[in-house]
Amino acid sequence: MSEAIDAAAAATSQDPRVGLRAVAVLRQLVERLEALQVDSARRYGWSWEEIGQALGVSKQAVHKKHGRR
Amino acid sequence: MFERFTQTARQVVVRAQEEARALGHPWLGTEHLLLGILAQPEAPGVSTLTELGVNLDSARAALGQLVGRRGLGESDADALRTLGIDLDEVRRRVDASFGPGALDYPVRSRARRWLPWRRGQCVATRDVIGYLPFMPRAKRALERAGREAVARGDGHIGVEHVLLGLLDPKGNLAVELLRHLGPDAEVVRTRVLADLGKAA
Repeated sequence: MSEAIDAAAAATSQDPRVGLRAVAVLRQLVERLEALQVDSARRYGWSWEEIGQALGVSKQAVHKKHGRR
Repeated sequence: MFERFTQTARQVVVRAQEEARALGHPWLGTEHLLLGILAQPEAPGVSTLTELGVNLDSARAALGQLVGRRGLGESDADALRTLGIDLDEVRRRVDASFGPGALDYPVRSRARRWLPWRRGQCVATRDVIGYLPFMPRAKRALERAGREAVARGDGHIGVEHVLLGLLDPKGNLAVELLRHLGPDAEVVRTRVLADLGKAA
């Protein structure tokens, strides 16, 4: 419980340096996870359309981002 | 390829494999060969590196920093911890699903699959137990080691030749690593050759 409060306190940190850095790294982590999952989905034979749908973006968007990787 | 290698030089390659595995790297690169060399401090040429302030520990730490710039490092883990996210746990789960190193060394698959010399290609062998594939520059370094031996009129390929082979003017991660620790490849080469000359 106290841990959850700590985390919540940090996430809403008043110090922009702490908060912004955390957001930046989180974005990096999300990008990596997305790349792994998209690659994996392609190997499973998913279409760009299906991947886009699952990610909540258009198939053009997902293809533009991951198609040439 | 390894017929003319001395016992110690073979040991360098074996050790390089172990270092790569320990780092979760699915390939064998010049950076691992350098660590393999430094694990043989008694071998000819290696004492020169030690004198220049390069040893196994400092090189490992430097590699961690260099590679850390590509992967998510310690300070990134700290930042995520402020959000209650345990990066080690995330890494553990991702590696369990996608193979060791998946999170830090993203796969560049599909589009580049037909380019066999791209690092991403190695990922296909991530799960294969046995020898890790040599990266092109590591292979080149070993070929250069052979040429160094011939140039010096040595009948064998020893650790000193592998070291000289690693000091590729075209550059590689081992050279980058050395520069990070201080000495320039050209300086190391001159010093190693001078020390070998003295020993001979």
